[in-house]
Amino acid sequence: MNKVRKKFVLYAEIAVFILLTVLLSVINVINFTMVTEDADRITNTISHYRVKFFKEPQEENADTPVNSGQHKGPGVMGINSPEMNASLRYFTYAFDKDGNAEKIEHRMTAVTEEEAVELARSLLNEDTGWTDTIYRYRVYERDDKRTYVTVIDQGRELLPSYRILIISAIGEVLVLLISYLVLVRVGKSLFKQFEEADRKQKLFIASVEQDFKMPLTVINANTEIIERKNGSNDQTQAINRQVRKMTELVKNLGALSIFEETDVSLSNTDLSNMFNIIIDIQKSKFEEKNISLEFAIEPDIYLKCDEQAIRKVILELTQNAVNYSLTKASFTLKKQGDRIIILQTNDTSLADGSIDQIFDRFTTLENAKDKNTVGLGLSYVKDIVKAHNGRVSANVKDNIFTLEIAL
Amino acid sequence: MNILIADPDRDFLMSFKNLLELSDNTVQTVFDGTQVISKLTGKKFDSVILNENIPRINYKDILKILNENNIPVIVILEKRVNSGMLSEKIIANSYIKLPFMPNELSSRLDDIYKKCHSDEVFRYSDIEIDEKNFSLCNEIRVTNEEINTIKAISSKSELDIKHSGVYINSLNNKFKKLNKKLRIKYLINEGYRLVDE
Repeated sequence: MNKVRKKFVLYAEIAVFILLTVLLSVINVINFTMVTEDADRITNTISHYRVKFFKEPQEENADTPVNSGQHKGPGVMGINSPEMNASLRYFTYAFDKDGNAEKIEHRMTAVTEEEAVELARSLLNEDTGWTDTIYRYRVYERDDKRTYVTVIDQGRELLPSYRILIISAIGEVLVLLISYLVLVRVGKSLFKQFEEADRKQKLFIASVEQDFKMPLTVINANTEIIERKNGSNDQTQAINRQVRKMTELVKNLGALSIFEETDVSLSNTDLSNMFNIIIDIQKSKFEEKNISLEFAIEPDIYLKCDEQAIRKVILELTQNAVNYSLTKASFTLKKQGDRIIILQTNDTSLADGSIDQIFDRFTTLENAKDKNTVGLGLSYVKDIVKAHNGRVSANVKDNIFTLEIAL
Repeated sequence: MNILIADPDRDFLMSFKNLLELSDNTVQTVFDGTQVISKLTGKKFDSVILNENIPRINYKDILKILNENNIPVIVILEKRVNSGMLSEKIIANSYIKLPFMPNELSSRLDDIYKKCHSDEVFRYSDIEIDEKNFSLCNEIRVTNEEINTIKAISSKSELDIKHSGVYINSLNNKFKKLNKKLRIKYLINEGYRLVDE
């Protein structure tokens, strides 16, 4: 259950991360695009309407500029602001075919005229774009067949965008942190009821097993007494059959609490040998059912484990393969890095997909031939594997059932 | 057989008393540890059936007294037998886990009774098992099921792997402890066999 809670927090965190990243990326991309568009409108204005952005009083023949310092009143933002004329930082140089540069306008303090010519020359083969992070340029030709390069400084306009970007990144980290804390807390209260249900189920199973053992033994004994005194009849036979069935069920339930016992002894077990032995013992059962059996058991694989419990796992796997294989089954035991991998495969009529629910208590699948099965076998496997810090998974692909245990 | 059943459940006592008496046994019942001790003084029992949850006195202390007096005992367990339990110095002649069928208990009683009255000593390689005293090489105690397991292996009978594993392990541990060469090993295509290491 703890694992499920961790998964919930992880997936919710991934969802928050993806959502926030997408949202903040869109905001920042729009923001930077708008700054770029503003810059392009300015360079476009300069290139289309006149060479000089400002209408100087002595230039009577100059084209009418967009921003000519007309009075538009206070509170106008962006490039339409009457303050734009005074605040715009840019330079324009014209180059003739021989590469001679002529200064058209230079209103930028950070760049000297020599540096500006050099920069403009390096941009002659370009069209429009950003250079040195904050300079937007446009290269164009006018009627005099000269190539003009206009570079504007957008540093001040870009600064708020970069601030928003940094604030977004910090904000995202903070939101992730806060959401993690909230999710852990919410997860705890949300899963509390599931954990409680799981605990109650275990408790119920344990108490059924505990409280039914003695009554069943006593009923068994008394049925036997009645039969021996008065002879066997339909009633005593029915009691016997049902009590035997219940006795088996209770014995199976007992295996669930295998790891709640305090005196479980761990020993270094030759898993390869154990596997070979069990397969050798069980192979006649596969032969009886015409199931072809393949196995690849890597030698000398040892595991510090509760030998009796691990034997039960392997027996359960082989028994499952006998019960559910159609025509073929295989077992693999191998070492993969630090882990020991046990693979059991067989052909099946089940549909494709993950079927990890078979490890849940009291779960049987539709291909269970024995309808009296209570669906506990693989839940023992899961409990035993978990107690050995391992994990189990099962899936069906192309009519092949695969069960994997990593120890 | 003179049998003493010690169990805190009165229905269990009554049922098994009646059942075992049907097979011509004399059965006495007690429901706590102190009564077991007092019953043992003055009367000789062929077998004692003892629940591990017997109140007042720990069942292991009772087991010790029964071992000292050579009285065979079957201990009723709530949980499975494990090899740690079987490797202890003081052990029962047999352990049976609840729930069980009545014939499981009575067949064990008969089995133990027969062993107690036989002079058979099982010898194989460098080990010997004195059935009468349930002892391995006169040094370590063994259970009825351990004796049956080793005899089944020596006669190449088929074993129930689910239930025999714990006895095979405990026997091998005991052979090792006594520095004996004999081991129980599984040979592919043959099954469990007694082999010298």
